[in-house]
Amino acid sequence: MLEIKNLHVSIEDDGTEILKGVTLTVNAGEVHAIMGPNGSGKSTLASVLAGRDGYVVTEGSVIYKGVDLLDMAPDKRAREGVFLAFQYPVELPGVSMANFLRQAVNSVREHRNQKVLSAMEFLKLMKEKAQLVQLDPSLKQRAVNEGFSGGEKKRNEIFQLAMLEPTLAILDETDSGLDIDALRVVSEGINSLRSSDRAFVIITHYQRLLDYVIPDFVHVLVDGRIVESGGKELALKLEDQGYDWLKPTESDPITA
Amino acid sequence: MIPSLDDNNSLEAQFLVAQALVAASATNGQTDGFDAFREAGRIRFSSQGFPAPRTELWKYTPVRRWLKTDFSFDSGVGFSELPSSEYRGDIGSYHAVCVDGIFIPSLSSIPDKDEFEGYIGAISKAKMPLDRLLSHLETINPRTETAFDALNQSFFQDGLLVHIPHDTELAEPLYITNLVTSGSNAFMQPRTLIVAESASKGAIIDLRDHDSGITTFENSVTQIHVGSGAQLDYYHVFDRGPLSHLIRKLNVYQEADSTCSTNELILSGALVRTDLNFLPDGEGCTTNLNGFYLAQSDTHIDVHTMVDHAKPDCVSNELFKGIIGDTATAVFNGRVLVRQDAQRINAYQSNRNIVLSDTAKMFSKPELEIYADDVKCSHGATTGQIDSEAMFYLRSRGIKESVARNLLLQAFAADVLALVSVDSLRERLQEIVAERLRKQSG
Repeated sequence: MLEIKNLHVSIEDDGTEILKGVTLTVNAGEVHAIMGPNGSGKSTLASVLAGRDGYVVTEGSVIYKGVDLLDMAPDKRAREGVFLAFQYPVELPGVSMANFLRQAVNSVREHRNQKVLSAMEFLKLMKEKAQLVQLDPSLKQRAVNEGFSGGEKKRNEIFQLAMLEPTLAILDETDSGLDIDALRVVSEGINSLRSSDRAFVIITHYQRLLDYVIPDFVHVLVDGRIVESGGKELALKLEDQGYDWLKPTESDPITA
Repeated sequence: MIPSLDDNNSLEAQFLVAQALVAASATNGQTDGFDAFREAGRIRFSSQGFPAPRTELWKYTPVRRWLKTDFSFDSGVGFSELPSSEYRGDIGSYHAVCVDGIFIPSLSSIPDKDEFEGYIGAISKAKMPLDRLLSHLETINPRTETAFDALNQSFFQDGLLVHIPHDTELAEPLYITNLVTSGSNAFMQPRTLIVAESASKGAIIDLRDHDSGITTFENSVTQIHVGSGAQLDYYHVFDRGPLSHLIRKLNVYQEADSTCSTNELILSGALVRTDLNFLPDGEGCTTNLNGFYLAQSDTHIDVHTMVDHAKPDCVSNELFKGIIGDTATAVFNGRVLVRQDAQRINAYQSNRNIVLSDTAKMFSKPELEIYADDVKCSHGATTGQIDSEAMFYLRSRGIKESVARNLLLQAFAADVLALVSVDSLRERLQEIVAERLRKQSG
């Protein structure tokens, strides 16, 4: 589904190279966790996959469902099934959740040749999916993320994921800032959305989310390169020993 | 430099020649009671002249540029029926229609005496004693006087009076439709006087939205007197299309414990200059002055506001928002003056603008002048582009760029439009603004 090959990415403003040759293959139905210390390039990887401005790809390729992902505008990527759960969800004063999500859901559905939802059908879907992450149904009247608590914002990201039914979901530090109860709710939401045709790339600094959402593969990103890959037990080792034992290497990155 | 008025080619000369004809025909050899009023205007206009280039108050609007035209000062063909209006919807029983500033009873629907004890009609036919009428018409704060007020005064023939008596409420919002006749390059100088007596209440919607498709120029003066304890909501919509020009003066005079809420909505025009002046001249006044301007194509919009806090214990809330695109220019100059004796004033001002293109210009200038020491005043002005992170968030959910931009612009305008208290007008405005923004985004 997703093939990242030797991806080099710099910051547009100052040319600083952040990703220094990332190679990663993700197949449908798999859950990949990407871990690593602060500043290793985890969020940059998520941003580049979703199409955020401000980065330049200097080398390498990203093929998604057989086509060049980097060539697509961010909204096109989303309609093609790529979803990014933001580390810092954006507040949109004056844009109601209902209006926002209806536009989003229907543009995605239209693209997939699915029937555009009527107002009634949409509200029903919204109510159903909101329960998944225990969001108050009254949220439809509220402006997107405005006045939401930190936990609500993160649950709102997973709620949107559920509404948009992507094929590739990238979660950028969805666990950060969550207390243990919220973490459980969010994890259960994610688990209920796992399926054989949907892949997850979960970016996290800590192992604790992976206690609930069991990954198929764990990769360690250090200084812009994947320096170690393994199964779920690798996350436990990192929790135990930290990142210090992993030195950036010049050798070829390990593919999953 | 003001050109010499002896020079027949000066910009002022054609106005003074036309004014002499108007003044002569208005009185027809006899006094109509307003000759001294006109003459006072003429003298002030002659001595001031139009704003010279580089005049601070007209810095970004070199108005002489637009005045170098052979204007026609006569009304053209009138209207046999009422043109439709996107803003008005169904006509209720409170609807005054003016053509070139002259009240037209046959096009208006005014409630009868049993329903409404006040008066909505021509100033010349009002039962209000002439000296009271004149004193209202002459209420101009000398701090905010311009040559255009004086010019309008010097051309005075008639105008619209809305008189809401003491302790009376307008049962429905009153719509005023202002039309301009079809003479090309018509220069019209309408005048509206609204007197809301003490403890009265009402909402008035003043529409200049009919686009006749030809070049028009209006130099309009609206005066509002809000009596003690009265509550008046006043909305002004300007949307006459790309060939229309408006110079507008609004003077609001408030007595003690009154509330006046206004919303100034400007959606099109070649040139729009509005001076909105508020004088809360009694204790316990509330003044809400809000506005929204959408400047597209090569529109030039210049909004000057002034709240002159002359008395203590008053509140003013000001919110103006603008969206400027294409090669348009917009100016916001918001002045708040708190005089020395005006203690315990709360005055808030906010101006927010979004500029959509590299060729669009926005000049924003808040001016706070505070001479009292026990006041709470704040102001904020921002001019920026659409938030790129918000755009990315929307697009990352599959929403196309143009739709995303439209959503954010609508959201930007939402809070100031929400301040329109007349539901039907607010809903229509929201739709019209959304439609215009869709065109802008597409």
